Amino acid sequence: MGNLLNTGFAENGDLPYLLGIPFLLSIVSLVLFFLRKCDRGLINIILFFTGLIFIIPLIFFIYSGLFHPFRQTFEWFNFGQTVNISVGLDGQGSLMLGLVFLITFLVILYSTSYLKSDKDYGRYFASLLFFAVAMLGIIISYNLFLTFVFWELVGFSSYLLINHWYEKPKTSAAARKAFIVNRIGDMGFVFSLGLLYAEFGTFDIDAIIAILKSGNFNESILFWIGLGILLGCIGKSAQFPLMVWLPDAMQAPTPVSALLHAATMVAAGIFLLARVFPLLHPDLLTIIAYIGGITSFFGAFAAATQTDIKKILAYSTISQLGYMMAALGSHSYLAPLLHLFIHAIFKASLFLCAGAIIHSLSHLKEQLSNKIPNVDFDPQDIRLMGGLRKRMPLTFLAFALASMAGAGVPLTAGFLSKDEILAVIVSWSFNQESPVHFVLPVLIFSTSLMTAFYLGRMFFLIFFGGFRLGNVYPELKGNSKLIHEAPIRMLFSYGLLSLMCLFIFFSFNPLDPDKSWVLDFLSHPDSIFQSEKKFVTEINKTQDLLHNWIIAISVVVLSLGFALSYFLYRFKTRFKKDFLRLNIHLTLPAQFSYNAFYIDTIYQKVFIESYNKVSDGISDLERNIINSFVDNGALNIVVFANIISWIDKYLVDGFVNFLMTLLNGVSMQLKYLQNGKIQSYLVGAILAILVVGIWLMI
Amino acid sequence: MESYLLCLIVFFPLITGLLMLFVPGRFVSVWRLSALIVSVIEIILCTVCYNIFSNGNLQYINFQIPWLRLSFGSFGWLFVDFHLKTDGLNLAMICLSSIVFFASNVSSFSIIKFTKGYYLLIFLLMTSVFGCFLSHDFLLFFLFFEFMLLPMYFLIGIWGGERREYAAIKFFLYTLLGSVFILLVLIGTYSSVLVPETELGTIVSQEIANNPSFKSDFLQISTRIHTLDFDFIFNKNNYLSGSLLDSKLQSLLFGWDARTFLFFLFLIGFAIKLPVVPVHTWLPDAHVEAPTSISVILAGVLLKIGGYGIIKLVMPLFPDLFEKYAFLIAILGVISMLYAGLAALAQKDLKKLIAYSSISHMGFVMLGVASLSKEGLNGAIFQMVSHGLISSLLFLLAGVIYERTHDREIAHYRGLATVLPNFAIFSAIAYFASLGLPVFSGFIAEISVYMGAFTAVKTGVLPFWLVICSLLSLLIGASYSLWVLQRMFFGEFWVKPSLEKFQLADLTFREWTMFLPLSILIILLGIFPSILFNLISGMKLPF
Repeated sequence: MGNLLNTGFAENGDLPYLLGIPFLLSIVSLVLFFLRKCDRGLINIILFFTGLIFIIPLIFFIYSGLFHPFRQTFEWFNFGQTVNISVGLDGQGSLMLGLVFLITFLVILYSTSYLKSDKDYGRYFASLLFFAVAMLGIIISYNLFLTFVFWELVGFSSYLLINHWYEKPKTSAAARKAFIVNRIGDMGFVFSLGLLYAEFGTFDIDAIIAILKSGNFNESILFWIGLGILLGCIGKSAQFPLMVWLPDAMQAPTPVSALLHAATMVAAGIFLLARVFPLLHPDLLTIIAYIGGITSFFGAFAAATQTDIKKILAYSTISQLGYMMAALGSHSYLAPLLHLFIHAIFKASLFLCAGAIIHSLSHLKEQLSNKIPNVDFDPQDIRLMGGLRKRMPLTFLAFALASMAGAGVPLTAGFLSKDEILAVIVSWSFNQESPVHFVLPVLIFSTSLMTAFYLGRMFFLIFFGGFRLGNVYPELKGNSKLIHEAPIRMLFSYGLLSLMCLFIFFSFNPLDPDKSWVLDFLSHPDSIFQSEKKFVTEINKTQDLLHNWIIAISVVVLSLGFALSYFLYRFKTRFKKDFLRLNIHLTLPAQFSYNAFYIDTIYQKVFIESYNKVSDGISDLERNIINSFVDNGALNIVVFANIISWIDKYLVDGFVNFLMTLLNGVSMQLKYLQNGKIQSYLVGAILAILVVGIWLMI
Repeated sequence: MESYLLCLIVFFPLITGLLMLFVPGRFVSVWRLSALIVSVIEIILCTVCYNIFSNGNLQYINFQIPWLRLSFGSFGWLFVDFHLKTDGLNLAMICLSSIVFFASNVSSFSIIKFTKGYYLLIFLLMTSVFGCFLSHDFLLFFLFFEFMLLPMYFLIGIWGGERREYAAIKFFLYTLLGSVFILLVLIGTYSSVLVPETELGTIVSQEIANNPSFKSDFLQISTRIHTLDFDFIFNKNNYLSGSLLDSKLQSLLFGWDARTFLFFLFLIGFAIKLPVVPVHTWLPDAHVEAPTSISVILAGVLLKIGGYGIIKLVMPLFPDLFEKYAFLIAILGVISMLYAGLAALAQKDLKKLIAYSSISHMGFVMLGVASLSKEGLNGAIFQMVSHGLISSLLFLLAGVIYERTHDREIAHYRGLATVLPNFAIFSAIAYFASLGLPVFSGFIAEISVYMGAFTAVKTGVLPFWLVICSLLSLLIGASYSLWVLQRMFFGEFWVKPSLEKFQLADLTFREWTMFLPLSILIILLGIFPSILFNLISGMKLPF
């Protein structure tokens, strides 16, 4: 508790316990779980009242976090040193909390309609609320141990939600993959927890920073600690090389993808890195920047040729998270967080729109199957869509807004944050000594180009042209009523989110992100590394200089991307009929993009197969060598025992018997010596005298 | 009065067993009920002990009556008392054991062969387990430790599966080998430890009060009193100079002194019981062949005796050597963790997989104690308790499916969650607990062991690479646990055609009574680890 006083936070005794919210929410989640077999109406009522009850304390806590950052510390347990539960809220936490609860609220609203006919309705919401608890935990925790606890729980809730339709074999494989890949990252997290504990004896972030500020420290150990946390964040935020789980996680119900795998859970890695920002070693930041750069390029490149609408969005998420990482690695605290919030909003909106489209296409599939036998098509395949703007006009509008924000079109919120990120990265590379570091801005700008391209491609293919599914099923011709606009609850959810993609919600100046109100509540934390301060000031200076240029370049790049997609997917009409050729499968780059650089195959071949081989090998070793060694050892002992027994029977005992026989025989013979016959004695005596006499004479 | 509580804990099952001898075996339900009642009473008694201990400011309960007074001529006397005593560690262990016995006794309702014999052996086993944990004298400990083998051998050998005889004899011989090693150390200890001068007066006057003719005997023969009491054997000053335990003794054999030999014998003796790779091969066979209720006891209680022995006896008896060879012990632990985890991944038999996961989890105990840190030690103890609960749950769950179909092959089932939803929920709890998810007890245990290991890196006890290797166990644990879940419970429902004739009904009331308390305890310990950490906080490292 003493540490808290040093860090300038008063113990906020008057505030009700912040921990009450996750605690009560997890009870609601449990109740829902127990009532999972109940009627949908009851669950809706519970959800409604939960929302009603929780909204007031949430607003209260967000308010106090924004204006009076606070901490609350309790002792949890002691296994040598005390592990505290330190929770609190500051600007970063409050904004994230508001964001998470806004999106969770909308996603729950959306899901009540989207999963209306699901047989596990109650279980779904129980898992969703459990996720909210875990995410809330990450946000409020100022103790890395506690963070790790919730970090794992977030992964667990992700497992549950991906696995919601567990009867599908693909789903449970995807859930397992997500969990295990995240576990690799968690190994890093545990590693840094261990180093932190050994070095400082505490997990409290404030206490650690206070210790570091007060004295000398070992820089290299901080590098390793940061690296471990980074590995954890790479896993959770689907960064290179652990991004493989996210596309598979799209097996989850779409609202789950919107909430977990786009807006909040995957952003937890960025959020955590921002929280420990003062501890990050400068060399580590460079690594982070490049991991982000590579990931963003990878994601955007892979998204460019996907045909599954959710896969496109998944790769897009990977790419956007890469942006944030790259910006964070460029010594910026504000840009990635701003983009985190804005990305969460537009990406959630895109996913929810995609969900609405999938929803109505699946509906269409059901209706068609009544008319035509053997209807089989993938309702997520954008090659089969087209012309939906007339049938789903509101969704079209929402999708348009959100994808413009995603590409960073001026006047949208996405422009603000993307601009900030580009500016930061370019200024960072200008301030590096080696010109090699210009690679990063090049990567980022090409990502920006591809982002505009794939968003445009998706947009044109879904909403423009003719309805290509009609080419396959002629029954659809002229029967446009089969596709309908989404129900009101769904529409409201993504409509609201799309509206928030406008610049006005984030800054009154559409061109200058620095004027954003969000930034009023965030301040660049002082790094514990002395050199940092100077470097950041220089970056800021360069940023001011280059700002207008970067805006200009990014707008040019953006227009190029859109123009390219327009040219390929709208202007060139050859795709209108021959929809299956939409993938230019013949070209090598397209192959690479479609298969995401074959990274899954490589991992399968290199890691998973060898892992299984090692495991099989050990099992064989166990069976054939160790066990047979023991068994043979036992067998040998038995054989030896038999030999001994044989020896005992035939040699030892035999010898004894032989001796006995011998003695018997000898004595049988010898008894004649004493048979009492004088004649025999006489013969004996004479013989003896003769023998002795002869011997003496010789 | 409190002190008789310990006697009651130890002998209550035995006395019940003796009284029950008059009940014919055909009254099966009477036997089942009596076993159940005994285990419930044991739980209550252990809870009472826990309360006395935790309320009374970590106060020990002591029960001591004179037992053996042997004279070995000029070599001295051997005084052995019937000495039971609690401390944090063994309280944790008896609480765990009582719960595991309860679960096992509920599970044993499915046993129909020779019920009377089965429960008599269980009563014997209970007495020897509780005696082993509570005894505060090496000889007493050893007697109870050895006595466990007898009921275990028959329980596996009579009520087991197809290869039960092989498994039983393997278990018996392996453990007996360990016992022989421990016996050697017992003899070494006996020959080395004397009651110190300062205590002599009180002990002799006590003896005289009990037995007036003793004084003359005592003076005539010898004034040396050998003892095996835990109060004395861990103190270096009590060792006879030149004796086997004396570290200054220079009797060399291959360059090692007798103390080092005894240390390794002792360590191997308990390592077999724990078990540690490479002396672990008895365990998969014994676990697989034993009936469910006995697998539960094996995993939940008997393995813990190995860890208990290491912490309670090996560490304090040989602190210097333990410190010296900590690296070796840690390597054995890490090898167990990784090797057994990988072996588990390749298993096709569900019970065998759980057995290997047990070995893997016991590796944490070795790593924890080898870190020579408080965190590591606490983590190791926590792991023993946590694993006792989790592995019991896992074996009971495996028993559920085995009881229904008599087939444990993982590949013969798919999508069980659809037909057995509650069973699937408990399985998910158990496997996630086993992979160390937070809110389950396994997480706290593993993380404390890791923190201990990293502290050991800092203090230079363990090398960095070893600890990093040990982190891999997080991944391996997750992969085999989730693999089972995915293969058996998710996907479309399917069973091997030959198994389709069996009816797969969801959990019965009896099964709920086993799973629910265990799951709740696992979660309770995961959220409020202080329940256990407070208990063992009084323990001191002997280094």
